[in-house]
Amino acid sequence: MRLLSGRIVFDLALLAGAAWGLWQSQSLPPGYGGGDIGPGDFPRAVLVLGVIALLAVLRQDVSAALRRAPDVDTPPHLQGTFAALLISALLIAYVLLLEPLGFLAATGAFLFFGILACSRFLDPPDSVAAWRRTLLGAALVATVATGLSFFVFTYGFGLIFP
Amino acid sequence: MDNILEALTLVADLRVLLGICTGTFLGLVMGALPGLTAAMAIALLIPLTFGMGPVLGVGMLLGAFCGAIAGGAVPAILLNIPGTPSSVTTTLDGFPMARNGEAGKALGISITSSFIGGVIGALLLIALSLPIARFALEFGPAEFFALGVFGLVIIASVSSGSMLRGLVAGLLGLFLATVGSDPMTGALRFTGGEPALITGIGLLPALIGLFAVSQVLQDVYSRTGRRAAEAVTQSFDRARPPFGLIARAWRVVASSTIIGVIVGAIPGAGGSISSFISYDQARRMSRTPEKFGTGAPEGLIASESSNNATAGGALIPMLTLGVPGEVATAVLMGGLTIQGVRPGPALFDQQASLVYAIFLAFILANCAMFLIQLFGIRLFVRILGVPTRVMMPLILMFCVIGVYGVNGSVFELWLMLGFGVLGFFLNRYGFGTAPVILGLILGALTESNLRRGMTVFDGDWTAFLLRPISATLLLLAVLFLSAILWQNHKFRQNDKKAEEASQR
Repeated sequence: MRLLSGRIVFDLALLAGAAWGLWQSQSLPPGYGGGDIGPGDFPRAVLVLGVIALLAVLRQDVSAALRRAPDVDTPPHLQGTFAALLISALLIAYVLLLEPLGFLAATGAFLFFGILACSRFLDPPDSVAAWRRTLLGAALVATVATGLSFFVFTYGFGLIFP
Repeated sequence: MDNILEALTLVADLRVLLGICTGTFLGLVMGALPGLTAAMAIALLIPLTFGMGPVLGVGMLLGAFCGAIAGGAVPAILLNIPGTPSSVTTTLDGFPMARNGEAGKALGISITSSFIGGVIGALLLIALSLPIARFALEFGPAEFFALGVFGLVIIASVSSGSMLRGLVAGLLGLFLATVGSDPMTGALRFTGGEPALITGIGLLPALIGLFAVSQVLQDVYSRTGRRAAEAVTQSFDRARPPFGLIARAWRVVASSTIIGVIVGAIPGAGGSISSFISYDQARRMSRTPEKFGTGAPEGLIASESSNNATAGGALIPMLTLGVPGEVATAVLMGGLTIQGVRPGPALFDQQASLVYAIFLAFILANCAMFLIQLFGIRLFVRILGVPTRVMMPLILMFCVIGVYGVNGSVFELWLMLGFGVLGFFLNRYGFGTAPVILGLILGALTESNLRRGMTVFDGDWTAFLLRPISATLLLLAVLFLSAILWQNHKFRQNDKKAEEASQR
């Protein structure tokens, strides 16, 4: 169980990615010989070096995890993980809805829910009245920031938004 | 001379001057907000510079670079929170001065010292860049390949906690640089059938994802569940530039500026190291060293003049050799590349007027930084009051606007998001994000010069080791690698000993 740390899972994910790259590079044409380097040779060399370095990193992390006494295991920062996941989910929704809903609606909604989510996790209001003020503030900031950025980027910088 | 005159006409354009001021202002704002870095300020500004000419765009980015470094002093003095890593030493005397009711004086010293350090750093940049670039013009494929390897080793070793992890991140960047159509044969590599990847991975989504989105995710993660620090407001009339005081401390200014430029020019060192060395040097030179740490103006002068001089020094290897020495210049180099300006010796040969324009823009950015801070210091103090809960979603909105606004591509938004998540984990587990970007920038250069070199030398790879400059660069990379590995080994041994001692 001590080995199931985020650090080791991330090392393994990088290793899997490198293995996929190595497998893909096998299908690339080789060089013409006589010292010529083909399109697959450079990435293959990089990936081989990457796999070696990653195996060394994994070895370090596994031995560090085994050395650590069970009673000094730091508990995962679940609230922080949930907050980062929620913000990522909001960002995914923003990207998904940007073209179907249009810039104004998608941005306004993202800012409104983003500010509410950050308020909940970073600086939680301590009363119903404070929550009401936060809701109003979020709506106001979302409306003003969306309108202002649309105006500035469309007319000032000539960007075209959906 | 013609190049200098042409550069003057390029910079003496109202739009360019406004661009430099705007970039500096935005950099100051970002620098003043704790947690937001100079790299993030530059990354967020890059999309805005897309439609601009190179001088205007580069001027704006240089302004942001200068401003972000100087802006870090405001929270360091008023809240004891360094806005950027290079302003850690500013807190040592700046905050005690503010607590003693001298916030205005401390801010005045910081602004003036930053300006003097920045301008002298810019002048030394001009003086040192030209001979280095002239020397580097002799470089061929072997030297450029060696330079690419050297740059990656340096950035990999300094931007993350562990050399090995930094190397993994650098190799990841090199691999990502090979995605897309092979420039020599046209063969598609690692595109997974996605047409948007044929031209390779865009630098902009990678930059914004790795430096802005990942930073927001990291901030949200680490600040959740912790009460925000109480904002302490300091009252002051205004930030006066204390020229008399600084003139009396000319020895501190001179030594700190020179230390700043030298340390900045060493790839891998950076502002935080230079300001610590300068601070220590100023304490040794002082007749009252016991006052350092209790609100000594000389300490503040040393820290601020040094970290701003570092900016000029850091531009030397980046502009002349195309090797950024630390994170902010790596991002700046990405911005220049997107602008069509490829740093390196050829830039001095082929676009000399542009190089002089960059120098002039950098000096002007320092002047703008001085004037904006002097007259608008109250605004930057107010910025400290902007709550993080509002700032984080706004930054993410700017990320989306920046990436989408350039090509109108939703695919690039997904790339940005992917890089954001990747950057979050890379930072969290000590790999660092700067090596990825440098690998992405230097990948094409390194691979193409390796392949060209092998063709030129008829497949004899020993030619890379026998040419004096490439051999020196490769040897330096190996020496640096060995030194860092040895240092890491010593640290680990010490940790082990400490662990064993605590278990006894």
